[in-house]
Amino acid sequence: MGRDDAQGLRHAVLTYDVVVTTAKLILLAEDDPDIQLVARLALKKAGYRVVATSNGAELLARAAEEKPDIIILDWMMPEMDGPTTCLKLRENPDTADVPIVFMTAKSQGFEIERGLSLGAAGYIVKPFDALTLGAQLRDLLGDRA
Amino acid sequence: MTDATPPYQPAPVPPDEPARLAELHAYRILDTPPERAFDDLTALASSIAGTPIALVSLIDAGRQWFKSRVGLDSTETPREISFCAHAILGSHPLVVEDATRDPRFAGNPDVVGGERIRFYSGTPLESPGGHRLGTLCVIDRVPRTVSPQVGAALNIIARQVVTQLELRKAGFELREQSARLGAMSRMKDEFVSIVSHELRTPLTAIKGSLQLLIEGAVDDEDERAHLQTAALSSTERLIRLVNDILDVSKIEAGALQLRRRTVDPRTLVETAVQGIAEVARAAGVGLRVEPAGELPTIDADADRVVQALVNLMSNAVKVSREGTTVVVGVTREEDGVRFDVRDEGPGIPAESMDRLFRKFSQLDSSDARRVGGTGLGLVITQGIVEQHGGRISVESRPGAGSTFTIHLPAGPARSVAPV
Repeated sequence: MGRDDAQGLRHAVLTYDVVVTTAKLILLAEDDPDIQLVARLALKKAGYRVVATSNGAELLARAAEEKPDIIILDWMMPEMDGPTTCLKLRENPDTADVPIVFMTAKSQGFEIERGLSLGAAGYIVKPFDALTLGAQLRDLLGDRA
Repeated sequence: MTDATPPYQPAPVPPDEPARLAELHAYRILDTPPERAFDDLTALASSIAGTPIALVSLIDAGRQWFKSRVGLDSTETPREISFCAHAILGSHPLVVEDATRDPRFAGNPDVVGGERIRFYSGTPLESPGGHRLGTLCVIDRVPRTVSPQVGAALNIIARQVVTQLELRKAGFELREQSARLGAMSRMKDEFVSIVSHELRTPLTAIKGSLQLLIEGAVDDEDERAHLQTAALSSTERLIRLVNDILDVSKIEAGALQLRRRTVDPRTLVETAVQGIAEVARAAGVGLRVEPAGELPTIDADADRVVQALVNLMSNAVKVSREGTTVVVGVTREEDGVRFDVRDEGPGIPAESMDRLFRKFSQLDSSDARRVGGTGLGLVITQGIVEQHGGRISVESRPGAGSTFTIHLPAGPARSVAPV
């Protein structure tokens, strides 16, 4: 029995309707289709609803209508990279308060510092742990996750 | 008016002239601003010899140029009228006690008029390489002699001038070496950063897929199948990365071994096209092989040439928009065959051309680049081609696509006329 079974139990005490309506929405930008799939399934398993996009520009276009609770950004993406997207999200009053987490293969100290200096609430280095991704988000964001 | 001017003799050119000039230029001293170290030495020479003029004079192709001067305004004079050009012909100091009595100088414009030189003593500046680059000289407007003590002192100062030249050169060489090492160190950092990123990305897909599959966390059968495929393709990506890094290190060490045999260039193109067809199809990019005429066989490592062609085609597909076509051609040349890989992509700006074959460099190195990779493919391709005695070239116009061309020499003649 893994940690996530325990989480599953916690959700199971809620009624189905409540789970659907209270599950927080994560808007994800990840250009690698394989990693996007893994992240989507891992977050779904952790109890989140997920809308996945392939780059920052797509994510910005979706952010207004989706009103996400959390935004997860890869760093290197075509069209618009993660740092640029992060700045634009912070500048826009509609998304300025949504917590942003970088999830990237950029793993060096100066890169992490830069990511956080852009206003991100958290930084997850790839390869991430698909089974504890939800727990990691809760560690980083507390009640907001 | 009669021509009363006595003749003068321009100095002959020394036998080591080309090497001498090359060495002089290697000191990179000509036309540089005055420097204290040299000015101190001419001041000392003028003071010891008791002459109004002292110079560090360097003999360039058509002039003498003064690195340091006391008592003289001009910074250079024509070599033709230079006393120092005479002084560098021998290894001992040239002493002219009274120029009006020396047939080499009596008619010299700087004796007859100009500086009205009478006395000249020039000690050759002999480099450690054995070339006399110029002189430390002292000059007076009245005839004089040089005592043995003053002569010895001037020789010592001349050697100090050479020491200063050497120090100066060692200084800029050290700065340049330090800059090169700095650039190498930055390249190494960049390498570590790129390799780390390129390792972490497929590892993320592999680890995540396997975790979710092993945990039974995915109910949907299609999604499970997709995860399995993702794990496998990411594993293959890792293997390619490891192979690429090993190939580059072999190429850099000059240790790329070729298993040559006689091959048909057409077969190489077909094999390469098969290798890339799926990638092209997935990207919605067409792949066309132009019909080839008669071709000679070549003596080549088939696997390596296919690898080189696949690299070029893979790049071409990567930069191509959906719906465009990559065209591959192979044609006979006088001394072998040429392979062309042409795309309709964005082309390569002229200023980026020199970065193409540089390790780990990518045309677009921004975080928003469309095309991923390690920046090793073209380095490997070039290494393979050159190991075959061939060459690679690029033609590109921004907006009009690029053509990469590999020339490979023909193998040893196969068909020998029947006896």
